[in-house]
Amino acid sequence: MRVSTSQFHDQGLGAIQHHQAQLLKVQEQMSTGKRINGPGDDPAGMNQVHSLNMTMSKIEQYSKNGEFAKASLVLQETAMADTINSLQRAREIGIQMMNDTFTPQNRTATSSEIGQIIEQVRNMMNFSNSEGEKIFAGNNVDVDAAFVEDTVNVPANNGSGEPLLAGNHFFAYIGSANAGVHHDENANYGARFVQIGFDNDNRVNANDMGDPSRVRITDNGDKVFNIPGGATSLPAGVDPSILNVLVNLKDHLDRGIAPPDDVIFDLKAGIEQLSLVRSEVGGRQNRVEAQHDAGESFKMVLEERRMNIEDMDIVRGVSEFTQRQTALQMAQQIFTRVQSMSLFDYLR
Amino acid sequence: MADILQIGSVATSAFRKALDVTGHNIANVGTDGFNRQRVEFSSNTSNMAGAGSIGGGVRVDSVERVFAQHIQTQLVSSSSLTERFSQQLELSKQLEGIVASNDEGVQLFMNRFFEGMQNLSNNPTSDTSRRLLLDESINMASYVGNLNAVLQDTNFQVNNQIKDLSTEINSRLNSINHINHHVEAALHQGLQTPNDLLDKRDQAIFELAKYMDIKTFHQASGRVDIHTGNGRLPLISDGTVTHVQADLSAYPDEIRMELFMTIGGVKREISDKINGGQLGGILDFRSNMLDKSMVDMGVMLNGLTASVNWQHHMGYDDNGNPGKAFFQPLDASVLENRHNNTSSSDGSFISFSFNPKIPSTTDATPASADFSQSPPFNNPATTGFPVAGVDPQNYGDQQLYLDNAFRNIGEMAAREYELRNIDGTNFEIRDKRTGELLTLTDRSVAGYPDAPASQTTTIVPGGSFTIDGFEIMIDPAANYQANDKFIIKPHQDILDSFRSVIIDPREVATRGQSPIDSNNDGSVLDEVLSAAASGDNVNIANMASLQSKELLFANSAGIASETLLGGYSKMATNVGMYLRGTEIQLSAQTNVYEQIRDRRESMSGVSLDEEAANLMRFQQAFQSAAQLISTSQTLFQTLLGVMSR
Repeated sequence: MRVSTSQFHDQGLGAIQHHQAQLLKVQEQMSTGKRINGPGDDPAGMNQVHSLNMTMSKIEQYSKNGEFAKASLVLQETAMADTINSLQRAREIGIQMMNDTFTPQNRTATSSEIGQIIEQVRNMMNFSNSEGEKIFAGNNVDVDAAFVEDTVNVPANNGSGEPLLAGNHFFAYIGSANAGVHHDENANYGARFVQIGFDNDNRVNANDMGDPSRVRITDNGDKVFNIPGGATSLPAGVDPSILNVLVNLKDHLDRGIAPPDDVIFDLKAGIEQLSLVRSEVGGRQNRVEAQHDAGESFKMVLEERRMNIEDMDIVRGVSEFTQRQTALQMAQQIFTRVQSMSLFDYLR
Repeated sequence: MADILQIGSVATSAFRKALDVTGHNIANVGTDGFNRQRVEFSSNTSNMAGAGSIGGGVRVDSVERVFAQHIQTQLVSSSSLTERFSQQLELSKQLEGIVASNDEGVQLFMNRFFEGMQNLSNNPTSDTSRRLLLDESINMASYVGNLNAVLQDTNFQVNNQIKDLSTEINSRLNSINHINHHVEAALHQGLQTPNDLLDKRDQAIFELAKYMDIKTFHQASGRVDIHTGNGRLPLISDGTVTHVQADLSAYPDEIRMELFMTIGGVKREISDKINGGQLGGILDFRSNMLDKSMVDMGVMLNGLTASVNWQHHMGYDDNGNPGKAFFQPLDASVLENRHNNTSSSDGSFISFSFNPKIPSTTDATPASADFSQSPPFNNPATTGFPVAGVDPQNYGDQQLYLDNAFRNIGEMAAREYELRNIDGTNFEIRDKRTGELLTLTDRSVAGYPDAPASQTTTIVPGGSFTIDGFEIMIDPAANYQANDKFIIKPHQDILDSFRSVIIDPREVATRGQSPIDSNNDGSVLDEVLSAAASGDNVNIANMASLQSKELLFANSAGIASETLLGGYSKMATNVGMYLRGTEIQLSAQTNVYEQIRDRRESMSGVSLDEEAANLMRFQQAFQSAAQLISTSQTLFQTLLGVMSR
């Protein structure tokens, strides 16, 4: 076959350019550490990487949501634990004061301690988080107080038939009609659900029920602090909350009379209810924890898949780089050799 | 009668010529399109001289160029395709770079936008979280804006390239036509074949083919006719040149450069007839990659805008007001054709937008008047709310609107539209690219949207129709004539207009419908519209869920198949697929081209070694012929010497 001079040239140059292009590709992959550096490198793989990235970023977000939920739940638990301590102290005092060895004077003197406990418990029941939201007010997080003065049952008696002494008054949850002007039905709903996992229908309904992918982080004050089945020591119509039982206890002590058994029973029932809600809140924290762990292990699997698709196998990259490099050097040497071959060199 | 002197002197001049041709070959070793030349020798007729025939020496018959037309034709067409794919690859690499470099950004900011919603859903009363969400939405919009700007730039670049290429093509056509005249003249005068002129013409044709695909027709007179569009459109014919013109398309506001040719006094658009060369590459890139990417991206943005807006309309903001639009809603421009009747109205009487209105369920006989509310959730605080047949009567009604919005989003298709007046009153709508006649849904039929949809292909002005989930309304007061045409590009328009329109953080509608069940029937669907208390996060939680919800590209049963980010990913994947396809085509075509070029080179290319050998051969022959003259001289001198003795 006849060979023209430009064929030598074209072929040599073409080989060099081909190897250079290949080398550049490997160089890019090696220096970014990624096999896929643009959609063209692997269109199908790119699509998978996109959805893997999205799923992983959602898991991260759910885990962040979980952190937030846990913080809120811990806050709620702290407030409840504090209330339980206060109630236990009040119950001890109540049982002591039932003893006939105490004089009416002694009882009046202790009433001021109960007054302090009432203040403490009321504070806890009106507890706000760092955003200033009331945590026991259902959806009405922006109210001034979740438990306000009972303005409906006025004048009220202390359950023993006597009207409350001046300075003592009952309290009402804002979701109860007893709150008067502060009454708002919305406080009986607390649809603050935080998403901690994948949702099958990506939808939460307006019915305050939540769904399995979400955890409730607020509770309604009446559910936490009311005595289930009603407080026997309190007059009818008044909110059966532990706060009101304490007010009742204080009123009896102020009068210097021994608190009735019902008050002590109600305090016990209140403590039990709080412990129950507290363990439920603990259960929610465990759920957040479990979801987090499940998410992390899922994420590890996803990350491994992403790496397999997107990342460069360094060992293979190095060997490919060396191979391409050698090929390029060869092509360059051949080019210079061929270029120096000419019959004209022999024409003298 | 030939003698040694004559033979010698003719031979020196013949070898001189051969040396000249060798020199010419060597000199043109680097000339593009040069075919090596060869001197054809023949021996002169012999004379009968008694003893036998003695030859009359050598003679140069012709200087031939070593050339094969069939190889050249193959070379031209394969180079045309190679140029096309290499142009396509270059442009698509550029676009891939844009997409790849913005890719992480778009993904990142879309995720961050939804994360902002999740955070706000954890903490709906936090002003900081509200502000952060708005910041993230602005970030996302500006990233999308960047991507759009580069895509638009690419579009302008394509327009300019088409214009520049048409100038190049026309100048090549002129020069080929010019050479044609010279070749014809030379052949007419019966001269030897003008080898170098033919080389020049072949090279000019070769270069023209790099710009667009052409077919050549060699005429007996030596002229070459050139046609394009698979041989149907004459560029050079009978010595006349028909130039190509780059001009704006029939829809001037579209700002899209197309190619035209004036054939028989009629200006025809020929863009879709060009398949090869750089021009073919650019046009293919534009319609199959650039336009497609923009439309794909636009579908995703339309889905995002519509779903976020309509979920936002479901909720109530910090002040208890119903949610406004979160992103700027689509308002597609309707562009008119320049050939529309001069008395016709322009496109401003036609509206094309996203509006999933449905008749109120309490309204038994819906008419188009039922759709007047947009967005349909009037402020419940307004007196007279809800107006029967206009506003949703209860929470259940409102959810139907949302369901219809999602249904319409699923119906969105990656296409552009051409609207055509059929009879002076009614319109039909077609896919702009394929010309396929599209069916619309007539919303004013009772039972919409649950009853089997009422399909039609005719748009009656004043009626209420949807096409691929979008609402199209034509004002009956406008005046249109038959064959008036308009184009609508909703997905390109959203690229330009995409931005978040909520400025006040308090206007983010975080809370949803009040959970109070006033009649204690276990369902809130029958409750009148009212806002939940400020600690409620139902609506913002549902907005955050849009990230995972499959919204786009529904099947005929209305089941959507892609999430919003999946829609974006689809665009990136399509870009990658096109690039890969082009790469494969190019490498295949390059191989073909190189094969043919090798064949051509092997036959017509200059080999310096061969020329060196020829140089030596002809030089030796020349020296020997000169020796003949010298011998003849010696013979003559010998004779003279004999005489003088």
